[in-house]
Amino acid sequence: MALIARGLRWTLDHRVVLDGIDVEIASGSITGLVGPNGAGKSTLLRVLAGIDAPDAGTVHFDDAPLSSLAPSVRARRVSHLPQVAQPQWPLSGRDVVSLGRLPHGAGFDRLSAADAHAVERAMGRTGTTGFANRRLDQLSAGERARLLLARALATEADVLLVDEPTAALDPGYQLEAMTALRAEAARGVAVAVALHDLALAARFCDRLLLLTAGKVLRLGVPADVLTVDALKAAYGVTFALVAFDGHDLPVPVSRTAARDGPPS
Amino acid sequence: MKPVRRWGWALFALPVAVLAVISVVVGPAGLPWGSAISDVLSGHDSVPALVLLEIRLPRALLGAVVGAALGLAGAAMQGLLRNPLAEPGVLGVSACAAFGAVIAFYTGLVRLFPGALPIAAIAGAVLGTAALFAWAGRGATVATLLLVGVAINALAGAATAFGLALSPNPYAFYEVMFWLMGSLADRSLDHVALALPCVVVGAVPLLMMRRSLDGLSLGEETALALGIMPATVARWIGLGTALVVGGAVAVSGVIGFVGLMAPHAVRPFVGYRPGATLIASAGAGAALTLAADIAVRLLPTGRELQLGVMTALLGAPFLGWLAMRRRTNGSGGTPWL
Repeated sequence: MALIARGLRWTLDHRVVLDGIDVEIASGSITGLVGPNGAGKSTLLRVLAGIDAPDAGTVHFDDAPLSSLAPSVRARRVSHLPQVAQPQWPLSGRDVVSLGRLPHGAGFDRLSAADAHAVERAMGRTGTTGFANRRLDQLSAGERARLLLARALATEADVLLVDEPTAALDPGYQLEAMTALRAEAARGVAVAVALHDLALAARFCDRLLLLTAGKVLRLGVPADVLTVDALKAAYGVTFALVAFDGHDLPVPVSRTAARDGPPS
Repeated sequence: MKPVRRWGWALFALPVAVLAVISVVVGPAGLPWGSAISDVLSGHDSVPALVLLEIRLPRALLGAVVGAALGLAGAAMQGLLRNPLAEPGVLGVSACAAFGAVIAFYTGLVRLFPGALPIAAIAGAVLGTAALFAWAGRGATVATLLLVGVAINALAGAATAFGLALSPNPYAFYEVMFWLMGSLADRSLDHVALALPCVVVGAVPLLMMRRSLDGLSLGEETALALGIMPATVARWIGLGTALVVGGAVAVSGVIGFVGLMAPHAVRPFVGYRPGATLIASAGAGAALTLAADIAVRLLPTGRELQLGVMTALLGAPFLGWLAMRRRTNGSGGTPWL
């Protein structure tokens, strides 16, 4: 059960956003996508989720082209959490998470026992059980972000693609969110997550893909990807590596002028 | 407020039923009820029976059908565009239907066969909706659709006024003018037979999109992630809206505010779920239209007030109150009602 992408290319108005990406999102592990703003992380996740069709290259799920699946089937197998949600109506927390069961044919007032169970489990894993009856407009940005992550978990798909789930969270909930993703991987789910926090990436991801300007700069285990040289080339920032619990956690120290790719 | 379950539909159906009965009872002529009902049942063509069957009943039925159509279309449009301002009236669907109807009036098509009016109104509504989506372009944002809708609304309104200016005689002018302002007076069961099929057929695609509308409530990106294609949803809702609004406008003229107001009135009762809002809003639209139509008959005005005028008189302050309440609720500046 894995998502395999070969030679992905994606352009927007003649600007190349993804340029020849090869990556495998393997089941039972977390693949982290890191890289500067505009490197193409979110676009890569959307293409991997089958939401955007690549201009060239293929995405295969279980040896079948992802594009051959009907949208509802695809959504059932591959769960995608976009970076931003634009909630318009102040739904209850439980309803927001229940949306994750929509690909399974469930509706707000038509949740099977399995659907209700999945919703409860997802809320438990993200610490959002207490928000079940709260309205979305009464929650903080961080609380909403956790509910939205629960929405993606509730689908219980084979592949989970998450775009910056920790951006709005305090350190405690950042750890909780990453732990929830680890638990998904332990269940055999193929997880990919776009992250800006490199220390979290170093600790929680099995493999990392360092993107710059739509190209793969490094791909491998965190220790091989998060080197001082590679990070300087990608971000134009000098990092110090702090050893902790068998991981080298990068800490940004100062900006250097040189950047390999264009800044945006 | 918690979502209403199980007997929740009664909350919306009961006021409609009560108001429909009141609508049948209220009228300028006093009715001997016993003989009227027994004459209707025995098929005897007495005056009370005719008043009941040909005047009162069609008016009450049309009020419910037209109101439900407008409430349903408004809820569907607001759910699709995820904007509290969206409404067939604002987006030009109603205006295009009215323009189609005016063309049918002037070309004399109406006199050729009775079906010409709803067909022209629906054709206008379909063309207006198609123009809206085509003009706004693929992947248009909500803001673009609203802007284009307002432009189409203005264009259709101007075209209708232009048509009126070319009117051959002042009587025809006034006739169409009053018709445009919306009314349920002097309608017959034939009008019900015209509107009801259009509304029922149009309601099918709208109601089928309930789950998709729920899926759209976190934005189009999340909808796509859930396997919902916003473009497909938009097509079905556009078609359904054109049918129900075209059918309604064909028999009642343009009745504003119902489609805008009804969804906002019911949303707190259905937990703000866009899908559940559809049916509840249809009920609220029916109740609102019936209430306004009863009010125009009770008001001691020399000439009966147009229904569109009454819904605006009732609707504008109500909408203002809703907006105020929302502001004091402190919903953090998020654009929902």
